[in-house]
Amino acid sequence: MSSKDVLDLESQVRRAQKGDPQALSQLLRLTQVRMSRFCLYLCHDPQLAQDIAQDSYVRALGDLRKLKDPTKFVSWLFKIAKNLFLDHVKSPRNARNEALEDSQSEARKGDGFQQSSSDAEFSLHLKDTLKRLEPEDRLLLLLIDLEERTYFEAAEILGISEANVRFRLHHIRKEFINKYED
Amino acid sequence: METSNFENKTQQIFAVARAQDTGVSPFLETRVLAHLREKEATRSRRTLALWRGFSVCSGALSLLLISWIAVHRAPEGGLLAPVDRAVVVRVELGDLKALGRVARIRIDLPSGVSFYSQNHQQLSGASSVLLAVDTNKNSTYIPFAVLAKQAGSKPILVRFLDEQSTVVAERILDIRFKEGA
Repeated sequence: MSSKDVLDLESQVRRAQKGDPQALSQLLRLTQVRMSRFCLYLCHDPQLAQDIAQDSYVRALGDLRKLKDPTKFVSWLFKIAKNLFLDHVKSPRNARNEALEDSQSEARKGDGFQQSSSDAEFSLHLKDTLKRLEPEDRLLLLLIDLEERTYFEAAEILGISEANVRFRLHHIRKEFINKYED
Repeated sequence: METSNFENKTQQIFAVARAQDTGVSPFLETRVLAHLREKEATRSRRTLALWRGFSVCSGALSLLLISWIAVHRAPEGGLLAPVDRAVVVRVELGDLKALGRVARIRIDLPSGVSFYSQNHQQLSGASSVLLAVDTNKNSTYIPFAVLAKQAGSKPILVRFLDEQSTVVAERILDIRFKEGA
């Protein structure tokens, strides 16, 4: 995100906190590409990714007045998405249905988005590799290497120490590459 | 070296991922804003229901409070009396006389109210009186007459005293004086 985008985002958050409805739409437009992408690689199911993205925005924008520091909107949004994702993963009903979803996930493309075949192949391979990581490891990898959050921001979002982030990241990257190249 | 190798490879892969268009649902913004509007409407309905409930309850609560006050300050017989006309008031002695504790009664009248007596002129116009209780008599009450020059609710304080002039009980008699009652 450019520094101009960051300032724009901050001012939109402040305006939205004061009740400006246009600012809510602007906040969505400024962040939805990143949020949708993050949820897609996190969930490997396009429909689940859309649900999590939507629910995260509803919670974040609905409780926007609780956000004390407007510069932390994106981190806050990702934190909500993380919590929703982990709740979904840990739910016994969802754990049982995961095997069924795996075979059906590519049939449910969500709202009709089509990628080129080479992009689709890359995306599919990446998603399959990520799926083979533990959910918490997947989260950390995507926050640092896909979303380019700092170690400090990732630690805040995940609720762990920065030292823990650094330590785990090395092992997660090693596992990821080994599986990706397998 | 190995660490940076894995790091570099990972970062290259995700750089490609970032450059790709993974698409955004065209309905995301509409659905989110619709949900937020629904949440806000529900919150407004809940707040309105709460205020409605509060206004009903506060009315009921006020009524309850007034009733409670009225019950605890209920006059002996609950008198409504006319202004400028003598009214006879009875103070029941009840168990106090039976216990032999009451030797005297002190009656204090509020402003605008005075005692009335045709036979005992020294009482007429007085606002306070101390009466002896005759324990030999079978009567269980003490009567007295009052006259009010002003309309309004006038509390009359009756104190029951023992031989040592210690207050053993007291009662407040509320008489509402009204023009033309």
